Amino acid sequence: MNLRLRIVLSLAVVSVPLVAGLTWARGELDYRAEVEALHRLIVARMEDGRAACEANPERFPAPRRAQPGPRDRPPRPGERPGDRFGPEGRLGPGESRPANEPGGAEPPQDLIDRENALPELFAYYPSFGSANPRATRFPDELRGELEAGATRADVRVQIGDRSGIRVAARMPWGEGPAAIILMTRWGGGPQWLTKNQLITAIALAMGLAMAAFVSAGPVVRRVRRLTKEIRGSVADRELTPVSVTGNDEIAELARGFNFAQATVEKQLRTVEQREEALRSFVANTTHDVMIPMTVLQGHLSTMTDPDRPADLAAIKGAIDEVQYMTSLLQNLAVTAMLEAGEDRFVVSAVNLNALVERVVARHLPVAKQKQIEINHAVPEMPVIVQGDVTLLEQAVSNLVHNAVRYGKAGGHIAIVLRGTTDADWSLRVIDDGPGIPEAQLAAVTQRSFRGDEARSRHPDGQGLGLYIALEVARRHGFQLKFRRSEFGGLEAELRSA
Amino acid sequence: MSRVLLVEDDEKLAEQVLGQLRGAGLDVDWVADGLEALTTDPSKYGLWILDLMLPNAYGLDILKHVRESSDVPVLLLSAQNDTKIKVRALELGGDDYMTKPFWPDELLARVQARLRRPDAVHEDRLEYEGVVLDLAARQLLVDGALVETTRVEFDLLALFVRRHGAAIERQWLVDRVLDPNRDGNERTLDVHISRLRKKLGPYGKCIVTVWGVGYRFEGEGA
Repeated sequence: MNLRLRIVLSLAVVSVPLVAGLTWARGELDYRAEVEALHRLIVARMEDGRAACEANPERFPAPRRAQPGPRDRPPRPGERPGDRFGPEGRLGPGESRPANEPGGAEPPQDLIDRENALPELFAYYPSFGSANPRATRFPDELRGELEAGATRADVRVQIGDRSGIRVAARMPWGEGPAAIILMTRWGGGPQWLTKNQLITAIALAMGLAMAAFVSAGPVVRRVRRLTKEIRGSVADRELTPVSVTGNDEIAELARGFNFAQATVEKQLRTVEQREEALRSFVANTTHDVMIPMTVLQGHLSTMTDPDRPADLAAIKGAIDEVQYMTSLLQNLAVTAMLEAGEDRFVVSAVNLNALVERVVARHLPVAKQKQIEINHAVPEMPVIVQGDVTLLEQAVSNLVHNAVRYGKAGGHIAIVLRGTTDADWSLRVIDDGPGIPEAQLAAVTQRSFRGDEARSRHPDGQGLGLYIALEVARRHGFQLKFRRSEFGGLEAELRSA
Repeated sequence: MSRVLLVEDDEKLAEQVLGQLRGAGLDVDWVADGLEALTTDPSKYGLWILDLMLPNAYGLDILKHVRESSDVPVLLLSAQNDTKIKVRALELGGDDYMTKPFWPDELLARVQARLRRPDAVHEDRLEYEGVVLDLAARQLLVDGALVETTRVEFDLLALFVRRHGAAIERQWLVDRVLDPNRDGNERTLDVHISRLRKKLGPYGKCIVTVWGVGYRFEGEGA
């Protein structure tokens, strides 16, 4: 459904009940006024009509003459105002037959007109019976209301195609043949919708619809233009903002679209960056793994050469490369964990004594082959800290792996865990290897490099291991410091903050 | 010698582990199937080596089952370096775990460490080969002969024997044993150790200097 039709329909949906409601309200007000007028008329007529009725109840009221009612319509030309009431203060006798006779032959049109104008009146005893044989049988619903204690009651009547209003009133004297008066005005009641009202309403509705249809034009045109612009803005790969004119809801819509577009664009850039980072990560990783793989292939190929005796150095070299690759892959997995954010951490009580023993056991075989002595000391009571055991173990393992990888035959490594509580402990990895020059030492701890950057700066992967150790320490709120060991090599200390 | 049960479905790895452990003189049985592991009596073994990924049963479920009736040490093997699994394994009563890949030496060392039973501990008496410490009387007997010691020497030796095989940090010994009011530093400690070695006679060489750490008390064969 298009916008114009929608506006017109909305208008119809709102205006039709409104017009209907107003018409009904007007009808009700007219009815109330009519009832009021009829009641006043009853009171006026019975002021002196009572005596006439009680004197001659069978013939009350006397047949009236055709005369317009006092409030029904203006006097016809030629009528004298004084004629409006009969000589006895009631509507005068007419030449017509009684108006209330149901079942009679269809009266001539002019008679009906006159009848419509004159309210008929009958008097009743308190028992709701009338002395006048022509009197209408007292209507049950009105009788019920009066019996319930009301002094007056009213009702709309509809007999055949004739409609009218009936008002019944209890007279203050409360006795005799004129104790209760019933007055009926035929054709006096308001109709639900007159022809004129109907025509006015239809004309009004059509006018409104036309107005709505025409006035929706500029809005529709602006919406169409905005739609076209929005389509155009995403047609090419680059997202361009749409133009915003004015300060209304359509301008707001354009601004809303621009905002959504900017958000989408930002997210798109992030995804693209991540994709790029992942691509380079995979490329770098492949490169990193291929180097030890190549070395390993070389060692293995040497070993299978039948012309050469088993080369122990080649075997040791192969083992070294395998150890390195394992460490590298584990570091890559840990890097992924670190980059996924802290919600991936699984924090539990970590026994550092057991962790140190596992790390030592892991590196001992390779160290032995390289003739590097690894010693460790842990306190008698286990040191328990809160943390992610995989990350912490990898961090410590990286420190030890560095020491083993750069250590020389005959060298030493000591891992010393010291501490009493989870808030006061230190874990030192001490070696007598080549160490790191003072100038670079500071840079190692201060640099907040990314994983791939670390590896490109340190092609042998040392950077990644240290980066992970530093990141793990930082995320756990621990400290990791590097200094020259007292034996000339490197001393790394991981400790409680 | 305690028997070891290896629960591992990968044949190559199992063969390698079996070769290594049997080569070290251990009596090892091998089970490749999870259901079979579930129906094995845990108490028949002094140590279980349990792989987590097995056909027909999950390793942690087997561990749970074992723990219902036994406190036999269980060493878990896992190809996944996943903290959640490790934490769960320890919660369920696993004693140790190793992440694949591992060196055969590494596994052997861990198995031996788990199988090593702590020596009988007496309240008032520490013993290591010919070295006997009477804690109540504060007397040292070396090969049956009473040897005079100072308080520091006796306390040092008691610590060494109690934690024999483990390296003990020099600073820790200084803090625990030396009198802080009487110039207790690492150099003083070395002097005490040197005297103690002499007094122990043939067992003097059991106190080994450990690079970067301190000292370790170990037997001839250790």
